[in-house]
This record gives sequence, structure tokens and C-alpha cells, in this order.
Amino acid sequence: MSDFSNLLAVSASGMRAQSSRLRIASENIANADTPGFRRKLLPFREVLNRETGVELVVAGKVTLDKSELPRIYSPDHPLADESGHYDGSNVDLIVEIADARESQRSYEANLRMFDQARQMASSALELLRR
Amino acid sequence: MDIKPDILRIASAMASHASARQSVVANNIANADTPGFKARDTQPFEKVYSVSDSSVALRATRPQHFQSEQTQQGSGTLNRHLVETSGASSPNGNSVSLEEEMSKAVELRHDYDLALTVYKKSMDILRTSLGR
Repeated sequence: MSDFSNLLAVSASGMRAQSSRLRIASENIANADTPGFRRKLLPFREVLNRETGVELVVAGKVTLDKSELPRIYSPDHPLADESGHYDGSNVDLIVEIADARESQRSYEANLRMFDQARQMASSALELLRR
Repeated sequence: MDIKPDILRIASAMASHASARQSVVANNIANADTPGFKARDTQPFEKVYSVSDSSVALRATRPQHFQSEQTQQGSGTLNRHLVETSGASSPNGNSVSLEEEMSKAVELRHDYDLALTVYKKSMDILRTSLGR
């Protein structure tokens, strides 16, 4: 049974990582119009659980997109400098939505694996039935 | 004395191979977005499983006698070697393809169900022969 519990743990870690990625994408989308907001990036990495010997996937540290902020011309804006420009955010809505869609797809794939492992374990238990 | 019939041994080896493969596939899918991750797979069951049945294996009475490759590997064991699957990788060096993994998952599910069905059926036959 250890195989089954291990792979439930792996799939669960995948789902957890994908949902935190989805959270970062929604934070970016929510702040698409916040002046001076830098897009957040979330890298994934593999971590070995020493107790069980399973390699789990975890979301790493959030980093900021270092690309240049767009200068938006709006003299009436409270944050505008002498030239009438202020820093916008470097969030690209299309990219964020594509990212969210991709993480949703990966989440579903992990969920399928979780479900299949559960079904396999329960069909093995069915053997005990007469 | 080992009274477990061979068919039961093969069926349980096949089921455990399928569940081992399932954990490899699940690991691939969990890492579908990890940069630099290379997709892995187990070797197919027929390569991994080695027969221990003396009626199938070549009879050897001296060490000089040659043996089939399978009996030399060991008896009735599964040697789990993971191989990296070759495939196109995305710009971040990840070579997992979700579609391929899904089809592998279906395949191993069939193997697993097959093994369990064979196991169950053989148990039924045994039970019938015992008159229970």
C-alpha cells in the first residue's frame, strides 16, 4: 500500500503547488492597474521528503518580474511626476490568463491521478470480498 | 514450501508493477511545470519480470551450463529501473507531456485491472476446487 499512499502524496503536492500558482496569477490580475506593481513569478521545484523517500513538488519563493514598468502619461494622476508620467504595472492580462488556464489544466491532471490511485487502491481491497 | 501458484505470483507482480508505474506517472504530472524536470518511466513489465519457475527455465546442473538471461537476473523479482523518456522539451527544459502521461495512466490502469481480475479468478478456481 505504500505505493498508493506515496502517489496520493505526490498528486496532492502537485495540486497544492498549482493552486498557489493560481493564487499568484489572480493576485497579478487583481493588481493589473495598481501603479508601480511588479508582476509576481512563482517557480516550482522538486523536494525529497526524507521520511517517506518521495519526491514532492513545491512552490518556491515568489520573485518579482524585473522588466521595466510602463510610463503612463496622465498629468491629473496624483502620482504623476513633473513630466506628467507615472509608473504603471508590468502585468500582461493575456499572459496571466494563459498562465491561470495552464495551471488549471495541470491541477485537473493531478486530480485525475489522485482519483485513479484511489480507485486502484479500492479495487485491490475488493479482492478481499467474496 | 511455497504453495502459491505461479499465476498468482505473476498477477501480483504485474499489479505491483502497475502501481509502481502509477507513482512514476503521478510524479511526472506533479512536475509538469517544474523547470528542468525530465519525464521518467518504468521499463515494461515483460522486461522487468523474470521467471523463477523451474519448468520454464533452462535446467543447469553445473555453473558452466548456460542459462537464459532472465534466470540469471534473479527469481520472481521486479527490478525497478527508471528510464528517462526522450521527448521534446519546453523552453524551461521540462520534458513532460500531459497527454502522453494520461495515455500511460490509462494503459497501466488496464494492466492493473487485468492483473487483479486474473488474481481474483484464480482464487475463485482455487476456492471451487476446495469445495467452498
